[in-house]
Amino acid sequence: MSKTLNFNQKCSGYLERCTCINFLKKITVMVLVFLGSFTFIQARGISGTELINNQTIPITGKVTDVNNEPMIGVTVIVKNTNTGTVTDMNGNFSLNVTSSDDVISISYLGYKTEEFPVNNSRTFSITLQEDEKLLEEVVVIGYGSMKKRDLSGSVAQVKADEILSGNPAASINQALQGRVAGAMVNQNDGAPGAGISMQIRGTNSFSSNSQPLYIVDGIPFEVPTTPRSAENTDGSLEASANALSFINPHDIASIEVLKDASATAIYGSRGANGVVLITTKSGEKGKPRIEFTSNVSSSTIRKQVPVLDGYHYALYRNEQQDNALLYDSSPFTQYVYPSPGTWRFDTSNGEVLSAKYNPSPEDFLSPGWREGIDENGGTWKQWVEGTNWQDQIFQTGYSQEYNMLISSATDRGNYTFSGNYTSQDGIIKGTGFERYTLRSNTSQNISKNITVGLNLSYTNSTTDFAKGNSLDYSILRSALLYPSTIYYGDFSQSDELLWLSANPRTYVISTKNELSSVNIFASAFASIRLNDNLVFRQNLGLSNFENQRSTYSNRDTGEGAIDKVNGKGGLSDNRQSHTVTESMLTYNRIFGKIHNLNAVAAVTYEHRVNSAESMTATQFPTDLTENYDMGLALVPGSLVSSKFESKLFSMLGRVNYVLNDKYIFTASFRRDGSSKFSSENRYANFASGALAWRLSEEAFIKNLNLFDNLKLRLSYGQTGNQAIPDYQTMYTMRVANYPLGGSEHSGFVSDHAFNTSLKWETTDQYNAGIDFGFYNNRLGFVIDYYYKKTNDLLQNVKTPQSTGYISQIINSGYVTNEGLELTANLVPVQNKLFNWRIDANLSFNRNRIGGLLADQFSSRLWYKADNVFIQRNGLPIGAIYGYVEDGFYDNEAEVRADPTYASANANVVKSMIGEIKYKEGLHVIGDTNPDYIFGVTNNFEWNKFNFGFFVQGVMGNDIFNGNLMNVTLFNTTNIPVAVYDYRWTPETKDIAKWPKATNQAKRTWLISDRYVEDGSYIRLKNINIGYTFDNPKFLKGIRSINLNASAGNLFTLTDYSWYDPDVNAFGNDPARRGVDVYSYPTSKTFSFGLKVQF
Amino acid sequence: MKKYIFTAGILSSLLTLLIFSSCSDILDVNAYSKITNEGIEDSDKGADMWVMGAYNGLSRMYVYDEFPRSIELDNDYVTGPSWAFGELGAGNFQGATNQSDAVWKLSYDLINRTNEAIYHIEKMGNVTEAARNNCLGELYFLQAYGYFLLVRAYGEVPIFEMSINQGNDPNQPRQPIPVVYAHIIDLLKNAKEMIYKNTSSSYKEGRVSAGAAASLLAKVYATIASAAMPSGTVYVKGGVPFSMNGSVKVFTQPQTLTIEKQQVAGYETFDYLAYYTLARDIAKDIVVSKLYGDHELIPYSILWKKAGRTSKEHFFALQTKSGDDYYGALFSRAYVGQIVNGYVPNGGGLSHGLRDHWYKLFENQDLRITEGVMHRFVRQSDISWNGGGYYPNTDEWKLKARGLDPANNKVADPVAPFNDGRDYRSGTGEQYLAYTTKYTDVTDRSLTRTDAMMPLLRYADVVLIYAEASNEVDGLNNDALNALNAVRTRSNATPRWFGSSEDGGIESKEAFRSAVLEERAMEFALESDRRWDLIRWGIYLGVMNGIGTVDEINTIKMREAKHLLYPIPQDEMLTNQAITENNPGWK
Repeated sequence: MSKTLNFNQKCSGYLERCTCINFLKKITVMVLVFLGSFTFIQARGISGTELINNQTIPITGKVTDVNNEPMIGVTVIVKNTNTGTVTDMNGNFSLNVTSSDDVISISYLGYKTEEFPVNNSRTFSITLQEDEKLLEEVVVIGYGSMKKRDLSGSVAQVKADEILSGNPAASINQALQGRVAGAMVNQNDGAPGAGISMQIRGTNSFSSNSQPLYIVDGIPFEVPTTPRSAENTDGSLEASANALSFINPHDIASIEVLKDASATAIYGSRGANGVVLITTKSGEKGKPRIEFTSNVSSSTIRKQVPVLDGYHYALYRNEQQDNALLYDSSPFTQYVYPSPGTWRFDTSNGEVLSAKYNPSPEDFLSPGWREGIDENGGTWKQWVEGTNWQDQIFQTGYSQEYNMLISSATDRGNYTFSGNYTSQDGIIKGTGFERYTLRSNTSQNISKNITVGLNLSYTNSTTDFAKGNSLDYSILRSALLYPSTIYYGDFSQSDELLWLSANPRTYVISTKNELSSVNIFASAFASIRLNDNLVFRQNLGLSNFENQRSTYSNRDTGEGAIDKVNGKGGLSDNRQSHTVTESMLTYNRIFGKIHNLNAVAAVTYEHRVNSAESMTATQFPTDLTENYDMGLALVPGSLVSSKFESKLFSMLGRVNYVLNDKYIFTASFRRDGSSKFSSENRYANFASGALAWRLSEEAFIKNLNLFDNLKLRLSYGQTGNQAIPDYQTMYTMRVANYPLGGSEHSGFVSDHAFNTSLKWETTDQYNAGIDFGFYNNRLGFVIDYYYKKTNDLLQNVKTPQSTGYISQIINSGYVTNEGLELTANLVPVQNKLFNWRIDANLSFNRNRIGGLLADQFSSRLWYKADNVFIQRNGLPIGAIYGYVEDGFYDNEAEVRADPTYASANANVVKSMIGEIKYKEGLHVIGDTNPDYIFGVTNNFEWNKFNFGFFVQGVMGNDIFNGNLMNVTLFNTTNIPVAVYDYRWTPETKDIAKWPKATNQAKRTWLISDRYVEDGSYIRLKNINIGYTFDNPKFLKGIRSINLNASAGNLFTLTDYSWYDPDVNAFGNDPARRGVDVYSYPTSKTFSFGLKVQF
Repeated sequence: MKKYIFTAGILSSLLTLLIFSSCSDILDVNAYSKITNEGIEDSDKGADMWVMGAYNGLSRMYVYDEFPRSIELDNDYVTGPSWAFGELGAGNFQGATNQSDAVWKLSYDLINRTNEAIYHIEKMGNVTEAARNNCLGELYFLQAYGYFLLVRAYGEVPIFEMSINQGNDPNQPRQPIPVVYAHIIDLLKNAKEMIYKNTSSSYKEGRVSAGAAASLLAKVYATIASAAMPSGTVYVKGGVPFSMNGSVKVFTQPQTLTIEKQQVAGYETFDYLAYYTLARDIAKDIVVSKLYGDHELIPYSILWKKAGRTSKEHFFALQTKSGDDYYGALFSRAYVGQIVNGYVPNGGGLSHGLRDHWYKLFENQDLRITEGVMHRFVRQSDISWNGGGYYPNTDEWKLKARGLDPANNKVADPVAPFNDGRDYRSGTGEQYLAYTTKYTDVTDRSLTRTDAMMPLLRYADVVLIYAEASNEVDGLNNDALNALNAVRTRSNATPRWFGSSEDGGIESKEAFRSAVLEERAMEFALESDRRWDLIRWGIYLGVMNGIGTVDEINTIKMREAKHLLYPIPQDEMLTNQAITENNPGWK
């Protein structure tokens, strides 16, 4: 055991005084310093040679496209020199060359590069042809980039500008929903800034994290978990933030989703859940590009869940009493809502101290003052009016976004500067998200062979949460359950209902749950071209996250109730620092014209340190200072702090070989070591191989004249997963003191059932794919079939309670995922005036568990909801387990017919009438996995107009609707109209879906198919229209103005009964997907945007 | 160009060299805020820390109110509103919140803590012998306490000889009741000799003493003996609680029920008399010979005061800390209420009380009701009408509290403490129960969590065990009678005497055992003891169903055979491969 602790072990030899931790940082710095000085020498050398060339020949020219329109910003360079320029507004350029032997090269993204020898010409008129071969697009892959045509793996590329135009999204993963085949994106709930979970090709594992690895500009981007609010001590659910909201979506150039193992194996231990590569914008050659975008939008609740109004609620409460008398032998006293309404006077010694009016149900049909006269002739007045509490908490949220981007590039380097401000108001009062980001991406070619660069981004965001995703006190719970007979201006009863919830209106006004985050993410590189074929690159990534969650519940709320708690405040912080160094050699060479070889080798090291602390306190002298001065509180709560670290060390390599432009071979290897495992199981190897055959290059296919592209792909590879909490292989303790005579004495207890033999979870993945392109690539298909098997699942298995532990992380069992992905793009119309483009994707995934020794269950959802998700061989992850209902006991005979009640007491039998019949035994009652998911985008361009809409859907999945678990029909809580209409009464027994109303809390609710609902939906996610003014006459100096308007979530087709089917309260937890529990509703948004380019 | 390649070559080899040669354990990490088992020092202090960690298991039992709820709500004399008693208290042991599960889960948590601690202390080399014995003895005691709770609640239960962190199989089968008891007895026999007596200078208040271990052993013997007794008669006061006079509830006097005891299933192989003899002998060693330390019945005036919280009477009790979110007692709120500004705020407790029949067991002058029951209480709901509540709802107290005669004529002024101008009322509803005062002497009663102490085993218990065992072994005898009367006279109750039952005397062995049992109900009210007395005597069903369907405030008291044992938690049934069947009648 002691071996795992010797972090301070001294290194041998001359580095004796350095610890291992500092050691690699020093190496990196050394390398950078070395490269820096090396570069300096190089740079001086180059400027020296330039001085000699003083003889120049001026040339000029004009570049136009096939339509004879001048092309702006086209790069014109003198080949093999540093001399170059770009074309101006009229497509003209002028340049000095040194000799008639020079060759000028004219290039522009998306066009074929042309080269012309200068010879004796002094003016050039050049027409650039569009590069028809979309296949020439370059895609970023792990540790490098590649021409799309040379790809052998399954990689999906998304251009950020395409999905963001007319579709304002605060984060990029949100915008990816429905865009990539095989990637299932779920929002945790509809709150601004809320978490997003993404699953690529199904769930591999049920207890470790199933989120893909995000890589930003080559550096892994790992976000610490959102700190819990300090008052949440029992670890229950609460709102968390979206990791990728730290990245300004406008800064993103492209996103590559690596799906098959041939692509992901290079990320070894973290590639099993797929990899999302995010590349930020770098400057492009040409005039400085200045772009300003702005967006304003409004959002409203998409749909309310109708609950009983005052009148019906009062009737319902009275019916509870009738039924209690009728069935539960409960003595009848007085109706809660007597008809007519009655006054109650509290007297003492003949004096009337107070009066209270008990309204009748009918009173709520005509709200107003009610008057009463007491025994002494005094007059009393009380206002009677019911309240729709949802109206009290929802609002129209307004949002705004401003973004500025300036970028350019020269032969010497490029730069991008950007700034973004986003502010979103939620549709629940008091909630919102605000973000500032700044970014600077710069790189400089300090010599012909050396480039250095730095990408730096700073993000600062504040999220105001509504307490949601929780079955105890939360705003939505309160709004749905709070009696609708209480007038919203009346606080007199708030206190009596505190056990149930705070007054919803009070809640939105008075609770604070704010998360502020700061992220600094820097990645620096130096690359040195060692010869024509070999490049050495050193990367250094540093990132720092700081989060603070600040909460305060004042005296009006349940958590901070007056007299009992007197305000409850909390402050919790956490932070993460992450250091990555990568040293990489890339070799690129074409031999004998037909052998194209690309190889990369690298060594990487990562070090992550997390720490957190939190404090709580109660009994504040005043609510005024909230939690700003925790010291004011009379009763401090516990102080909690922690610190963790983990390390990852890897070596990797990849070879990509293309023969004759037809046959593509790729092989990769990575060896990873992780500190999370004990020293015996630390290292693991991950390898992959792939083959692709570009049939369309074969003569016999070419002769068919049918295919523009036809490629077959096959791959196999291994990836791993180490996403378990730190220190699981260590025998760790937690504090467990004991007070003797009122003072605590130190004690310790083992903190978990540990497991020293933990090792990697390994996924083997097979992929077969085919790419088609027809009609000049106006019709294209990509079809991929995959089969994945994840072995040695790292899972947190519930141990019998008799062991004294709740769970233990073990390697056991396997999961298979098998699926089919179809991507199609079609350009039905393409001409000068009108363009129509359709992009569609469809994916199927089948998930199965195997190899378990016995059934297992996911951790509890919340208090009273244990063992909801079963893990059983042959079932998918996400199978719901529970009782099956069998209607109701309609009469005594039916109750007696049940053997349980055959000889029961008559009172018991009577009380069972109108109750739910459960079938014997537990069954699988649902599956939260969809049968298939799809997305279809249509884009039209007509003249300067563009129009588009995007439809996305998820079919065949179930949702565990936890909201219904508070619909118990036996207490004061309000119920949905749909429940009231279908409650059991002798008259409605044939259509009843819910048991009878009663005020006797005898009923036992079991987890049953009642809570499982079909979550399928088809949604018009976005519809947008825009108009572009190019070089508007009315504004000088502006290149273009684009105006656009869009609507989000305009229309949804679903049978789901609650707010929204796109819900996943447990966020990243793969074992508990598809749960809805007072989740923040999704909104409908309308926005108007502006994009100006200078 | 060659220069570059050369440089790069040097660079990469340098990198490789440094990384792999110098730091062989590059991936070792600091545990920072995590304490590892090696971090706990090998010393008397270190051993103590392991023991404190085990004691903390008791705090865990009580921290979220799971205890005492899970072991107190199901008996004949306790009651409360339906929100509190609608589940376990109404016989719904597998109700929505699985209130009974806590007994299983938290007893095993305690047991596992002791196993872990025993394992580590046994490995220590620098602990002095006395300290080591004391620590291990305390751990044996705590483990025995856990198993004793389990075997009474569930019958056959798994035994863990060591923790799964020491390699034990997580799936352990249930063991027959005699095997479980053999383990408990073995632990306690060792513990009583190893733990410091409270007369030792090394003994620390708040921890268990040798006397506690010996007393728990006596109680274990008596439990086995009474459960194994094949037949016999027990008299219990109870029966139908009220009759209806029109729409008015009229409370009844408790009737003496004659109940033929059942032998408890699983105890057939025990020789009950032999176990009563063992119980008598060890109880005598504690009570008469004082072999296990200095213990006595302390005066009632300090019994429930902070001053009385010593090992003289309370030799095993839950230790608490005022206002602490974890170590503060939550149970006191339900039993005695939080008092803020002179009243119990809404949600501030004062909900769980004793039934009217329990109150009527006592003589008028008995301190256990004159002092031990709350006669006046004010709730927030009384504030608006300047009122308050009093108990019991009798003419005597109506006169004291309101100055009214039985016909409601004002004949006097209210007497203290009712003379504060408030209008006091009483009734037959759930707001008017016999609330105890046992847990009121705390540092700050306005807090949700107080430093009330929960007695888990006290000297009076072993005194009454002595009376019970002595009577069963030797028949009616003065030693037994004196022991019973020692407990009675401490609370100002009239001593019992041998004589004709018509004159109020005790005339038979059966009458004496019933008197002891009744004394236990009076003495240990709301100390989580009553259910287990009913169960061990095999009279649970007779007593509970003797009440009829419901008690005065509609708490369901009707029970069936399945209620004799708690259901094993669903979680255990689903996860433990070695347990395939639940207790009879439970899913």
